[in-house]
Amino acid sequence: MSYLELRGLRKMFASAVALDNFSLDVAKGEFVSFLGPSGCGKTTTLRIIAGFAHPDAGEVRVDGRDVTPLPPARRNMGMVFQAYGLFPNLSAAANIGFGLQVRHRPAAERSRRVGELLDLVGLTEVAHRYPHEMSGGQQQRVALARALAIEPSVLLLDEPLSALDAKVRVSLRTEIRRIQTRLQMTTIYVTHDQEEALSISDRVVVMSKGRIEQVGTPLEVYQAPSTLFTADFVGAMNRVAGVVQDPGVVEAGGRRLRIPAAARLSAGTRVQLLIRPESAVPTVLPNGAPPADALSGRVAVQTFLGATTRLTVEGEAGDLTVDVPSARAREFPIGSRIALRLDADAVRAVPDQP
Amino acid sequence: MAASSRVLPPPAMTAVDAGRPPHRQRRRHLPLGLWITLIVATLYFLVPLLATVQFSLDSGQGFSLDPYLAFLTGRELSGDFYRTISYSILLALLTVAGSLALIFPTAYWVNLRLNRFRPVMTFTTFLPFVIPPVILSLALQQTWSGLPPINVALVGTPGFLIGAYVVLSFPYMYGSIDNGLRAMDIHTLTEAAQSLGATLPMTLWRVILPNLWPAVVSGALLTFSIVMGEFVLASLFNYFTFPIFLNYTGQNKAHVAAALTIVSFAITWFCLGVIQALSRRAPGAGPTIGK
Repeated sequence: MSYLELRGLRKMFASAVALDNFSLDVAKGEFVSFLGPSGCGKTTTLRIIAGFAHPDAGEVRVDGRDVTPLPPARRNMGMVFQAYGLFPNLSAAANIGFGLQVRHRPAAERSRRVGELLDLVGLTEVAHRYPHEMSGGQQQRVALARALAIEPSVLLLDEPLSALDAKVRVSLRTEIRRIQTRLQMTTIYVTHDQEEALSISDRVVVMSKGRIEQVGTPLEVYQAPSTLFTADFVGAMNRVAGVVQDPGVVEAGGRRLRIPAAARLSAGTRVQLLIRPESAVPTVLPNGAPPADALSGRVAVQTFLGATTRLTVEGEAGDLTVDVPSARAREFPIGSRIALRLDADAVRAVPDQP
Repeated sequence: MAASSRVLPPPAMTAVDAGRPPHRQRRRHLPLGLWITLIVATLYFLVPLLATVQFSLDSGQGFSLDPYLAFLTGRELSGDFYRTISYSILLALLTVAGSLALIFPTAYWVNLRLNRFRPVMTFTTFLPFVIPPVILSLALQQTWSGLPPINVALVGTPGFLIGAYVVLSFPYMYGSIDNGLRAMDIHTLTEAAQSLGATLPMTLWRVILPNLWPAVVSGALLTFSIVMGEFVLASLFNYFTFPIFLNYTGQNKAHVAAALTIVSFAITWFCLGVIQALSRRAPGAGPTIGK
């Protein structure tokens, strides 16, 4: 049963549609990420849930209760901001205890709860430091503890890691997921970082232009993008234009490729083949023509990514990116001619949009 | 080449320079201009003050403390001195309180929700700079004399003068507080407080004001100083404040007036010091919440 229900949310800013008929059900204890580029409406949705923005239409329900008319202070939702939002005049402990003091909780209870949360986020030793005396990562952990202190019905995180450096981001997102799992806190997480969204969410909501493009588990969104936008936005994706020749056979780049995903498309349909860089297996072509069921091209660029190396291949089907284990990268030097055999089951075929 | 021959070599480094860190080597040539500026500015402020001290002590027949004793302990002037100085201090404190109560929530709301009105607010609050005090006094008297449409008579009451001084304080108080608010992320702080359950008054009192304290103190100090020395409105409205007493004394007893000036200067600085000391907090300190 859904715990947080968003029903037909719509929001306009002047004549621009920021959110259009947005509906979503979130189960209790679920971790859902809103993923999309700037201006897609993800933060607007979060602010409507928190009560900082009012929808032009639609409603927000928590545990069956309509909270749309309530001000933020009466929604009992914990919010973590990109800019931390810690009160500069209060120590870490006092920041965490702020919400409890506002609720007139007894001093002993406040003190106990603040201690528990400092322990939870691993900051007991900096309890008496002020925000300007802490690192960005520590400040954001205090902000998380402060939001959790009020035992919120829903935890809202608005790009909480965007202001942090790469290494801290990775460790802190693991920390957030660990805490969320432990507390079974219903959580909405806004980010434009696909890696972040895919790595910590139960479900990902891909958004564009105020609308939901796709909702699914990280694996579903990555492996089976339902729209070209999702395919392009989530992970690296090659798009190759082709035409369906026979059911399950697509002509692309002068080759006839067996694509099971095109089995239900009628002959003559123009399609975009969506190929992940790891779904094309390169082999060296010292001379002669490539196999009939493979694409081919010449290695133009090698980009070292750590465990893998990304090859940019210029071929008949256009530029393609292909990932190979870095240990094998020297087999495909720049300028070498290679064949790309596709993992046909992993290739998606999406009809061209008019 | 000719061009390269024009390039001046760096000045030779002395043995003393070699032992200094780079920033100290660079500063060697700078202080002269700064010192001259500092000395000129110091003289600009101190010479009139010292001249006034000298004039107050030298009555033409040698060094004497009589001008100071005349109003501090003398029967003729001391009553008026203590009455007017305490009256002016009270007016100044009430003006600071009134101005703060009016300007702080207004400036906060303009910064939070009504950003498009900021130019209007800036223009409005700076009007006391461009409206001559005589015009301002006439307008205030007309408005608050009990005539329609307002029908409220305040002229002659202490509240009337405080209200006029609050108007005079607008540019100083609004300028300070507006700058302070703009230096803070009040949107995030406000939303953070509200998400934790704080009402608007709680947010203002417990979150915004403590973090705005330096700006508030700055505005308060300026306002206090302005009121302590304000002469025109008090004179036109016929209030017997300290500057009026000073002017009255100066017309008859020039040396006593000079002594009064020095003492009032010291009192004002003392009051400013007290305000600053009371408002000073340890960095980041605020109300105790939690442990």
